[in-house]
Amino acid sequence: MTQAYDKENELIATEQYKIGDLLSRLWEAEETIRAIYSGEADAVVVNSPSGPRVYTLEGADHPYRVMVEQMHESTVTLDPKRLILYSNPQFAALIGAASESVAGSDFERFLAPADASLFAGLIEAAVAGGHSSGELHLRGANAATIPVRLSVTPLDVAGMQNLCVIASDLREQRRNETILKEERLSRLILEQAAEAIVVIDQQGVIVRRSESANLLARKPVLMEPFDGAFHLTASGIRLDTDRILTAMRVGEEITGVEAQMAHSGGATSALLVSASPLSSQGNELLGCVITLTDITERKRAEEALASQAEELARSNSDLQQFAYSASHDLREPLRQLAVFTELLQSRYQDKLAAEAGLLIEHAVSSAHRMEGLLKDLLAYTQAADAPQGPAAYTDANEVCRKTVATFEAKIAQSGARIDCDPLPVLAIHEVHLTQLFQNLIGNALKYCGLEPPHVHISAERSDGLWKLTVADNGIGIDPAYKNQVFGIFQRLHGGGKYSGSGIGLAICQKIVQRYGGRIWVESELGRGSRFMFTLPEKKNEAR
Amino acid sequence: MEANSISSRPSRAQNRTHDLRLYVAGSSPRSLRAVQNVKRICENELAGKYSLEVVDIYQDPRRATEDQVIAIPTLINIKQAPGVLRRLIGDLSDTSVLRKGLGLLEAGPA
Repeated sequence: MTQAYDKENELIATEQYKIGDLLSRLWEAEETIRAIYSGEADAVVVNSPSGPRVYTLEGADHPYRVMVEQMHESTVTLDPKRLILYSNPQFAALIGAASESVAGSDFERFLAPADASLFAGLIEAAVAGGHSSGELHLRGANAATIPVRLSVTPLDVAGMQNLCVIASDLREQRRNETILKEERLSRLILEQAAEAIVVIDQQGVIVRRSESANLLARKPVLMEPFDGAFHLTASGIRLDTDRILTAMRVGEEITGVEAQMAHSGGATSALLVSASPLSSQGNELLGCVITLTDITERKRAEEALASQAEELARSNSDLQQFAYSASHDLREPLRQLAVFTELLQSRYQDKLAAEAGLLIEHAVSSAHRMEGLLKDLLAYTQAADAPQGPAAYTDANEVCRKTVATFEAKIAQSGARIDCDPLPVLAIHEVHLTQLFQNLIGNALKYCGLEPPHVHISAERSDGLWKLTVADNGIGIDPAYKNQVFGIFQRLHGGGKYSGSGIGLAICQKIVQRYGGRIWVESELGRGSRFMFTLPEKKNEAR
Repeated sequence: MEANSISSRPSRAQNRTHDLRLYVAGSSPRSLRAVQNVKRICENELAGKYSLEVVDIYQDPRRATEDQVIAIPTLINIKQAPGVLRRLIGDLSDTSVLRKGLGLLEAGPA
């Protein structure tokens, strides 16, 4: 029983649900018919064999609708609260949104936040003045910023006060402006370049050129074949556009290739040729940029300089050779002169007058002095000859100590004091540094006054050079002669008081100059002398 | 895409009571008014609980036949409860019809 009752109740519930559903569908159907009858529908959709078709009930707007849908511009209709009531497909595409999600949205959603007040101003101006327009930015998909020109016009339709907004995409225009600006800039750079620069296309025709290219070719070259304008040969082989473009195609570089350019009159120019490929985005070779640097003048100057240097070296070496052979070859006859004079003296001393003996003595001593001079001259010509081997480094402390040791007897005899500060390692051959110390310390001991000599050797570094100083308390040098003392055979004192030929400081100067250094003296008469010289410091030395 | 999640679908699917699709014909006056009316009622009474698609049958006629739409404008209530109307035709200026169609009559006076 209960079971049957339950079943009946269930049936009733089902029927009631069906009735409810039917009632609602009936209402829906009646409502549909009523709406169509009372003209509330705009359009009817009919399934035709060729697909769905829309029948607009008010047909007059059809051409305008098609125009709005097909035109390039994006357009939306806004209600006074800026709700988007309608958008054409272009607007949805512009902001990158699905078209069914645009209508029914607030316009602000697609507006760059920074331009919100600008947009409000546009609307105010349009409402007040009937139309307004301005440039601002929309916000597209992925927060992309889209520059647009917005035109806003109030639109009163069937009692609604809407706004018609047309947005013109300015992206392409902006891009074009940028490209034009860049093209103008690069053309300016190209035209004013000092070097001859040409751009050739695939056919080898010059499509851009700098003013200097015209000067080099001695005629206008724009739109001329490159090969006609510039007849180039590199290493005896014709350097034409065929070769250049082929090199570009296989990715070969042409950078600073030396080439000869034959001018029509028979003259030639020396050029450096460089070329870089111009490719499309698809990596197709469109042409290339060729730079021609005229090095004719530079080459001429270089050659002149080289020949001058060669001449100078030759005359220098001639002079050196002459000085060497003069001093060397003259010594032999001179020695014989001395020997024979001495023989004369020893064999005929008793047969000659006393005065003759004195004259012979003068002759012998002159011969000896001259021999000494020749020996010094020989030493001087050889002074800066480099010993074999690579650049040497010499510990100056060691050399100084050894040099001082050679003067031991003289130091003991004169009661001299020699102070030597810690000295650096210098980029100089040991033999040269020894000669420097030998001459400078020797002079300091030799040209002493009444006081026992006091010599102080010190070093200091400045500007990547070492400056060594040998200071003494000797007789000093008149500042008027401070340059003269470094000349060959320059002596400030007569032969008697101080021995020596006057070659020592000349040798010092020659050595120091050989290493790119400088030697000079600071002194006053009776106040001692300070001889100073500079030498390069040892490379890689820890600073 | 952030720009696509627009104000008419502000909430997650589980909170929604109404998924609406409005078929319009371009910018015809009734279509424009229909958009405005639906949006107003939804924002006033269903804020955060509805989604709205506006389909222009000129731009996308195929969808109209899929939903068996024969007259424009038509509002379709996709997430339909028993006893609630499935579709309404017209510019929906008659608010009481629209409210009844959305099942909102019980919530307040017409």
